[in-house]
Amino acid sequence: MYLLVSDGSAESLSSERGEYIFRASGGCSCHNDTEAGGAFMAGGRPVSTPFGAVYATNITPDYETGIGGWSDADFLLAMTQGVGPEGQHYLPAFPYTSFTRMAESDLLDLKAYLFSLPAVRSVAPPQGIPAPFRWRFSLLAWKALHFRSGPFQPEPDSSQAWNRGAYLVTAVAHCGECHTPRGRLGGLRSDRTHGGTSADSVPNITPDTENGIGAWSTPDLVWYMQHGLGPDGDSAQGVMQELIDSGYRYLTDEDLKAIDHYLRSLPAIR
Amino acid sequence: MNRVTCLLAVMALVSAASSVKAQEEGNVHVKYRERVMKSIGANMGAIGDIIKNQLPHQANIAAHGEAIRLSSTLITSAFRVKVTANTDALPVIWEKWEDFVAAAADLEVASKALAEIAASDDMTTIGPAVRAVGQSCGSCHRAFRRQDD
Repeated sequence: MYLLVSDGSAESLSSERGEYIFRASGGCSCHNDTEAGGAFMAGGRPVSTPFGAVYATNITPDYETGIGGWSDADFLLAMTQGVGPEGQHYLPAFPYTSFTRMAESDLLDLKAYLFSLPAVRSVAPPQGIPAPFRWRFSLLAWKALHFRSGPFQPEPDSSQAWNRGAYLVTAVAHCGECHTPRGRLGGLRSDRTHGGTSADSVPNITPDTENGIGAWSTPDLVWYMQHGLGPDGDSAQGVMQELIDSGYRYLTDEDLKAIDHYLRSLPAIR
Repeated sequence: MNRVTCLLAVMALVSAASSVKAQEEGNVHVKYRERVMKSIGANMGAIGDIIKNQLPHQANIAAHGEAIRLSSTLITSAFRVKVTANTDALPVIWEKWEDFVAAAADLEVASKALAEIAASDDMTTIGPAVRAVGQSCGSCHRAFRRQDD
């Protein structure tokens, strides 16, 4: 999409690494209003939640309507604490709940990549979340209940591949934001992590052989993430298709295998 | 039972029977088109298995691609009869029939290219060709098939 010609500078190298992080996150697809033909990363896309529609923001480097005026500290605060430069708390439709686990260096590389994109002037519609859910007080209470901040801590007793997979799944690729069901207040249910949701039919990606990916082989999963085609030859559905197309398929075999390795180590949920 | 009640009962039975018949008729159309679509999926799955598991059947990929192309030419015929009950097919298929026909034609082009590339000696471009077919499946499903989410 945007081929970066490296001039070898530290900034350019950072942005190149950032492009890979961007892919691993699923290409930040929620910020593309594909249906309305919106500009790349300019936001405006409605993301439906049980509490109403949330409109994705403009994350191009436009100074006024995007994130062009953000410092590194602003970016880190938004990604790891869900707090904007003016101190406003973001709605957790923005998955800072996962991004908080990302390494600072990866986040800054991602920022460098986003800042290399063309700036687009575009303002998202006002959020469709009704009071009291959007009140500052409610968001603070929600955070106290459901948000644990802090970077991913590797398990020293587990392999490097397992830790890499865990980091990708739980932080960068933020799989659980869709694949883990949510409780009544929209918090992720830790007893059903990655167990799929019946409400909006997001599949179970734990190793259960009947409902999960237990019957898939490692090559099946890698192939799926690269081509968007399941073992039965059918195409990936909905948002996943988009995440694969604009993001996951660019991951190295090694990273995709690490994701597979980690997912297989999870408790199988029926 | 007076005559009016009796007549109403008979009418209800007839209408129930004819709606069951319509449903069954619908079901046979749905069943046929699902077979056509599943034949495409089966061949796509076979191509995937050959590549990802490095099976010694690489020479068969061209035939699987050709099988997808042949099935793709049956899609518009299979969906011509509008049946919207008990199916993942969305009514928009018949509302935007020309777009649907174009999507089927797109699959024909992509699968033809895949078959040709597989038949040539240059297997380096097989990955993108498979992905192009997959994207054709995906974009048509996105527009015309009920999504789970």
